[in-house]
Amino acid sequence: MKLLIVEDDKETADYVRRGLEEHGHSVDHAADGHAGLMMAGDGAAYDVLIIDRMLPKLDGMALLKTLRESGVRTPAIFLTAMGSIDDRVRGLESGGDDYLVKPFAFAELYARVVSLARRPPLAATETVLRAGDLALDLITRTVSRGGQEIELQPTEFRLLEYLMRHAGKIVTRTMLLEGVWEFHFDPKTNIVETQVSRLRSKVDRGFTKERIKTVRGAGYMLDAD
Amino acid sequence: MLTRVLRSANFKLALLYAAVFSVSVLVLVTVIFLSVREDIEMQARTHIESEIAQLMGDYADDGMDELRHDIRERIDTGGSRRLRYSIVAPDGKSIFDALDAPAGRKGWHRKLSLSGDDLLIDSVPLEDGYTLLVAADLSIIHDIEDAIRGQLFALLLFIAAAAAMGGLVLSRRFLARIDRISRTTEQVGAGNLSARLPMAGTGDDFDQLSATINRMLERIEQLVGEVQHVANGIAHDLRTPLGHLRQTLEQIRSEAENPRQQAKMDEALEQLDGALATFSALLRIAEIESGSRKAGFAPFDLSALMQQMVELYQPVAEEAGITLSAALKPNLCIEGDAALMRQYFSNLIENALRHSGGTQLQLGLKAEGSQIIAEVRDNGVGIAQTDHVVLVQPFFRADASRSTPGNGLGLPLAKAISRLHEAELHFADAGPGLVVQLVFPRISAKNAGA
Repeated sequence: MKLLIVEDDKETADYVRRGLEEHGHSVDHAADGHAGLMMAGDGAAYDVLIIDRMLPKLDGMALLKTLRESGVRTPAIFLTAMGSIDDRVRGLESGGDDYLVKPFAFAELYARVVSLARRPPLAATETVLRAGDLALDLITRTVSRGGQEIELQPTEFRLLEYLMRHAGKIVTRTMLLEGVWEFHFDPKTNIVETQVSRLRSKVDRGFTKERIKTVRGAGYMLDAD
Repeated sequence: MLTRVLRSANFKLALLYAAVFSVSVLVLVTVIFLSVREDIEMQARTHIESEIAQLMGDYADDGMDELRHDIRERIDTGGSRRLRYSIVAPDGKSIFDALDAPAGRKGWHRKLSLSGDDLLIDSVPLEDGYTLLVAADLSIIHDIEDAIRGQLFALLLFIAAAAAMGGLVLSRRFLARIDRISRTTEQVGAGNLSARLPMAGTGDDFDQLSATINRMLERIEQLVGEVQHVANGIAHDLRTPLGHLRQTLEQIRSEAENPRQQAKMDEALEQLDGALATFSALLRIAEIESGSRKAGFAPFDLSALMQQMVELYQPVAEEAGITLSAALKPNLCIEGDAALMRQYFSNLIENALRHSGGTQLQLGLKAEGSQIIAEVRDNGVGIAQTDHVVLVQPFFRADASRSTPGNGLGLPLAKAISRLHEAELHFADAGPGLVVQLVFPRISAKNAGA
């Protein structure tokens, strides 16, 4: 992947760049909003933009707004030191696809960047999600594996839906909290771990192939094959 | 409103004014009456004296016949305000124009005539034992007195009524301004520090009071703003270096080959994340208390939200050996911030799971009268009644929970969320255990129809 990070804090920029390069991606760095705008202006240049919310010369939100208005659709994730809910909403409204509060674990950022990159085109008409022998019907709200129906609670159904929409990619604990349960804070009990293991026991029981995998130190992944 | 008006200090003052005013009028009328009476008497005396002087002059010159002639002339030409004249013989008989009054003394005296006239009489001796009496009728004084007496009661009644009405109007106006002051101070008390008292622009006492209060509010807002700013600044600015520290630690962790070192680094990262979580919670509380979240209020189904919370937490509770159950009245909607309400219930449920030491946890939702009550009830060790007030203070930890990890910001956050929703947060003994109630003041229109 080719990525652009627009970040004035050199330490954070280096940290992100190093991490991404270690994973074999090529990274460009812009230290202020103007430079970022120049570099990202060609919509095809990058797979994902990583933009700090507060930048010298042109702040992150204004930068992305300008890009979006000029037709650049490159997925973008905001980094911010501001953790307020309002701020998050404004970030998403200005055209951001995701929003990550500093400080963050690199694995968290990486999972989100990968999840944004080459996102499959939104299939609004799609009513059944599939991953190998696993099928989830959005209309009838039923799940089956190998033709065998699996009974799920509403909250488990939503969790599986999220995992299937991100099949083949790592989803972090925080992504699940935000995307499935709309928790924009860090709960102090391991609800995610417990919910996932409960879902796994229902989805994988009796099958040799494990669909829901735990990625150590990063999160979970639904095997798409 | 009327009882308030009647109870108000202003109205009492108005009544006092009415009383004082009535007494003043009474005294004034009396004084005027007395001085008028005095005046009428004085005039009558002067009139009588000058008449006597003239009559006695003529008498001295031309004798009794001329005197009689003079008197006759005066009687014929005098109008209704004429004096009365009489000549009394030595044997006490009136020989000319009887006064219609019993014979009296010499000199000035007052006497009632037989027809009831109040007469002021002067008598002057003539020659040969005769006496000249000249009298003025002062009955007009009684007429005035009667007239005043007759009107006085009505007058006093009118004055009292007018004073009371004036008091009512005044106190109503004053009360309106006092209401404005108390409304504003209530707003300030509720957290809206930018509320100010309106000024009438008249520069009166109320305006001066309002200006003083406004200056005080200005100062309070500034101080609170500074404190908040400093607190936010600390929380915010510390996050950047701590963020760098986290990046470095993570780097070292990824490069460490020794599993023992890795474990140590993991521990360090965990501790750092704990500190960062505390800062996040502080910033979140500050954000909520600033009231800015109110802009995003929207109606949502509280019953459904609580049901989701129950489903989400049931597996965790089960693992902790706690039965999480729900008694939720369906389809109860409130106006608010759903994301924050999730955080509220998450905090309370996790508090109960981690600190209560109980075996049962129940979420309840009911509508009582015009209130919606959402409660989280456990059967654990509970919290001492004396601690219920300090529970919501930042960094307070009940003795029972000191051994378990936590930052002491969960309940202050819950309190801030409840305040934002204008709901009351109550703690009560569940005998055994703790029940935390969130009481929403009114049911939205949607529920009213249900």
